[in-house]
Amino acid sequence: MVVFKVEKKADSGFSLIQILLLAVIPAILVGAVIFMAVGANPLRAYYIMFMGGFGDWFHFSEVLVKATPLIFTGLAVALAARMLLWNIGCEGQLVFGGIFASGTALFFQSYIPDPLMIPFVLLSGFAGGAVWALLPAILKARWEVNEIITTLMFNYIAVILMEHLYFGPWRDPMGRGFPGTAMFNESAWFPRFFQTRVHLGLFVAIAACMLLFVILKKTKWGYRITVTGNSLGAARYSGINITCQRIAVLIISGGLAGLAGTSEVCGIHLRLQQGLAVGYGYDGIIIAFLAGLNPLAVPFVAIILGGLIVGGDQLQTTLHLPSSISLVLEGTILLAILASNFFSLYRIRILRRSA
Amino acid sequence: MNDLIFIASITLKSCIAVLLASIGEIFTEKSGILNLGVEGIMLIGAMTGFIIGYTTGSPVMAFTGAMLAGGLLALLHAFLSINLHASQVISGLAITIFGMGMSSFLGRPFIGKLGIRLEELDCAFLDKVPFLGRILAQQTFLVLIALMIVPLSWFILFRTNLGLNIRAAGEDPAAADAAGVPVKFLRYGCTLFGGLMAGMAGAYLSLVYTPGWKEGMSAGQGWIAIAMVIFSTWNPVRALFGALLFGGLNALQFYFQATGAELIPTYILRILPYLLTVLVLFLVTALKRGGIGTTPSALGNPFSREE
Amino acid sequence: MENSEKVRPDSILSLEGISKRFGPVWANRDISLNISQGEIHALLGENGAGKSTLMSILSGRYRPDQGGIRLKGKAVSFNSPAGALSIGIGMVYQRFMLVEPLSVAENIVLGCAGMLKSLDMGRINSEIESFSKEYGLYVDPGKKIHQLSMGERQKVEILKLLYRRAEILILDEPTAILSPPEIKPLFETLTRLAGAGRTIIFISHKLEEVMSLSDRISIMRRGKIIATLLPEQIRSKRELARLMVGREIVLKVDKEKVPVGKSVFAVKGLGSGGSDNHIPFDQIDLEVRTGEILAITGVAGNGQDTLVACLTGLLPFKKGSVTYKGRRFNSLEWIKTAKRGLVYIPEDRYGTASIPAQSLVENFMLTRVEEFGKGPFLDLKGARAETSGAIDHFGIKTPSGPSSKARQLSGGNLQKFILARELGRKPRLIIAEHPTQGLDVGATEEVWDSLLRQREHAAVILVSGDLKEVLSLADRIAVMFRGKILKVISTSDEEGVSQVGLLMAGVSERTDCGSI
Repeated sequence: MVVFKVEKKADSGFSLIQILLLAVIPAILVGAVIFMAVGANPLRAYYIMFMGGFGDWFHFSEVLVKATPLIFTGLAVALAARMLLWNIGCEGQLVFGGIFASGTALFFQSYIPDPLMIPFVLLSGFAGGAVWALLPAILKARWEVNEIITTLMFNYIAVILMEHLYFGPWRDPMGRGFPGTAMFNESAWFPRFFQTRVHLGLFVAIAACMLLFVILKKTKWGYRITVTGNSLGAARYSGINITCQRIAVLIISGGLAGLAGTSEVCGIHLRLQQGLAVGYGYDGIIIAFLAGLNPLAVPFVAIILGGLIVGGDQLQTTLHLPSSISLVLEGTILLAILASNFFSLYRIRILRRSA
Repeated sequence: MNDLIFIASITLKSCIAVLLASIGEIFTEKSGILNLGVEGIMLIGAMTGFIIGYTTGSPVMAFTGAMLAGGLLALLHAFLSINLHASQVISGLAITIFGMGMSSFLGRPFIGKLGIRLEELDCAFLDKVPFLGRILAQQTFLVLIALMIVPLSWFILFRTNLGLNIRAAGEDPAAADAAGVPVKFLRYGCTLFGGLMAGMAGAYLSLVYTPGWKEGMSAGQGWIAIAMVIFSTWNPVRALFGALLFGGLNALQFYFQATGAELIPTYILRILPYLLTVLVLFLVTALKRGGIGTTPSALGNPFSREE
Repeated sequence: MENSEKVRPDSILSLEGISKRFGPVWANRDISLNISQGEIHALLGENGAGKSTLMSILSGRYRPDQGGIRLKGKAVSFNSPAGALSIGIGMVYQRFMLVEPLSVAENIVLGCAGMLKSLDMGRINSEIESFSKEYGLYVDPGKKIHQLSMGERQKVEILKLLYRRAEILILDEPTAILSPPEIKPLFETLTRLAGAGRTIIFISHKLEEVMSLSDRISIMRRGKIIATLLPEQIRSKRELARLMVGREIVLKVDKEKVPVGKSVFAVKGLGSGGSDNHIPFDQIDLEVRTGEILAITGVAGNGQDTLVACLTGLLPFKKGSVTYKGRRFNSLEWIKTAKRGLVYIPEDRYGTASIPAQSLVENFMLTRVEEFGKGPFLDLKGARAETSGAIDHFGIKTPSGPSSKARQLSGGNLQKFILARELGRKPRLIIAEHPTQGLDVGATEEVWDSLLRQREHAAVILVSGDLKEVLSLADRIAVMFRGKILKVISTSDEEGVSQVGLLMAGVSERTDCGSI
């Protein structure tokens, strides 16, 4: 009788690259099948997607634009995950960052000198996200209330509040375009670069990645986070105040997501409008996972994911195929990575049994 | 009086999808598996149900197809979680994303099309029943099925050996395994059941509630169903009340819109389900209340005998 | 002394050539054994001898890589505990397999009837009640498991097996978690069951129990059975110990006399609150001075864990005060203060004292982060240098120096590493909890030496249930029972020392003998 036995490997097998490759291939195949099912030529479809994202500088700039909020949310989730905390609430924290930033831009304009507006907007956006993460953080740190559910619920609350604001008290008196607030004064607009829509947010995002990397690797606080994420027992033993640390990390994580909202609101929309909450918060979870929680890997993964999204849009424009194919590919890649992750950690041994 | 009937009717109508999905998820979580893919499965169920209904004209085939599609996705989640020890959070999220994309992609040609509609229960018998009769008259057969599933689920979970085994598997899989409970098999079964229910819920949306197909038409009801599981402290009967509450808040919104009155601002009504869920979760976790229903201890952790 | 037996005609159970491997290690090597019906058979051996593995195979939890099992002469195979139970072999593990939120009755009937059968809890409860009384193992069927004492939980475990008509019952270290008054009833139950035709196999490392309870004893060492004996055949406990370990274990400790200095640490009237997870303690008065080793001992589960958690400032206490280096602290203050010079060596090496997945350098910094770095930044190079130094100085065997992961070290080497880290902080007070648990003789001796040497500048509080360790190292022994310290005995007081065993069982001038 042949029996399959699952054993944990002594050393964790594949490198991240190997895993990514093992995951991308099944995804590409699944996508190809779907394309063929709707009568499209897979090779052509993929080509269009690729060129749509990386074909020329202009398209790539759009990828960078998409990647900007993704870097922030990916970073946010990665930071929290290092302490074994699931911040599923980036979507809501992003929205609240947008709300606070918008509030500052719309109502405090007369109090803040123009050159200081952008720093203030960034600060208030960070604060908005941080504030929105505060209650779930306290509930988790103090009472072990499951943060997956609380942050998830807060996502919905945030979106509803935002809608209430821009349909109600903050409604644009001139009522143009998408439902939303009035446009911000130019002092709150993020500068754009290279004659594209690439804006300040991208550079702040990348800077945040590098800062976080240094903090995690080279500071005592970062060391404590790593310890807590590895072993709660050892963390308590070493005198770390886990409650405080959890709150701190979740607040900062929320703040980073808030910056994602800020950068969308001040960099692209230039107002608070419908279309802010489109799922970047959830994408952040995928990015953090694919980046292996490494802050330096986050921008690259964000760009790849951004490319996928933009490529999907291009597909829609050119071949009239729904852009949601990118979601399908995202989901498939993720599922395939989960599967291949298994093979990197475990080995299957075939044993022969006597009788 | 008419207003009350109006509200009650919409309450009942709008609670069904959430109710079905949350009962399915209750079983899944009771057995120890966290399935965050409910939203995606619901959408796939909605799309599949609509397409099959549109092309075959048969409600039975539509619902069956939707449930099977949902079941398949749930099995994928089960395989990843149970056999491949994948992170259940990520796996569920991946399935939601996949489901969202797939349903949107394949459903595109069917947007705006007129599909089948389920008949309402309006009949002579119900005309004679006061109040309740008029509420039920506007519902479909599926509502009766859903309402029967509630006590049936409760009975299975708390008054049969199957339910005992499921609960043991979710609390302490090692102990359950030692007692001879087929933990993995039960987890597969419960996850599958959750998928069937979520698929049914989705089909309900596209064949009864709306009806029709639209991208992302579940609008987060899958997530609400997951929240409802906690809100109901993993108890099917309480899930009914939670779903009715959700439906009621929905109905109130409609009512205020229809009559122009706004006793409670709409956005507060919309926030309430989520806020209440957080409150209940707090009570259940921090104060350890909830009686028969508390978080299954092994929820989200993979189980393997030789570890 | 036989070490391989031919199949005997009246054997109810035969193990033939059982072998089992975990990675590179053979936990069981070619084991053969015959057991008769109605026999109480003891499996004796030190940690790591392979007893648990063998019984896990017998009970269906593991599958053997080689060899087979015969029941009543017929070859049988099963690949799960349920399978083993279906042919009558059941096991009570050290860590009980009971679902805590469920009731006694629910746990007993779990997995028994067909899936679709409905549960009539009323009928089941009365059925279980009479069933348990019949076997002299009464427990309230409606109580939830988390409400039961250890002894009661063990009864439920045994009832589970009897309910499923187990003929062969295996118990893994059954007295490890029992309080002394619960041990005699257990032995009586087992003897009664054996008399009624059940076969009992139990694992133990306690020589006294094995001698008093068993019909035959099999001694295991390093994965093999090296002898199967009748109790009469054993001439002395010393010989038994030698068989278990393979050489004369005379742990000689060179305990020099060291002058006793000032009081370093004292607690007065210390009491904890009750809570789900912690066994409470009350009215604790202790004091320890430089040069002294004070041992706190008792059967596991009498409040020592809670006491240690409060002494080290990891858990708040409700009553009393702590005095450290002359300053008095209440509960909040004690938790918050830096406790410089206090070093704690936890019992749980892998879950608390170290982080298995991280490197030795990172583990070294665990309690010493402030030493390495300026301001908020880490000085990784300095930490690495210190770690290397410690590894060399203490002779710790590592696969790749300071970069090795903590989980790659053996138990003994990890403990040495932890000691190196903690003792390098130049402590004034050392609280060591079960420091040699699971270590082999060589490592144990090294740990003992380190602790003894610390007396020159520190006071040591040793928490241990190992009487040999306590008697070898300590100057004074505080015996804990049910959360109180019954007596503090000086090791130079011979008569006092002879009472320690009794005290651990709760017998003292303060309580009536027998009313426990």
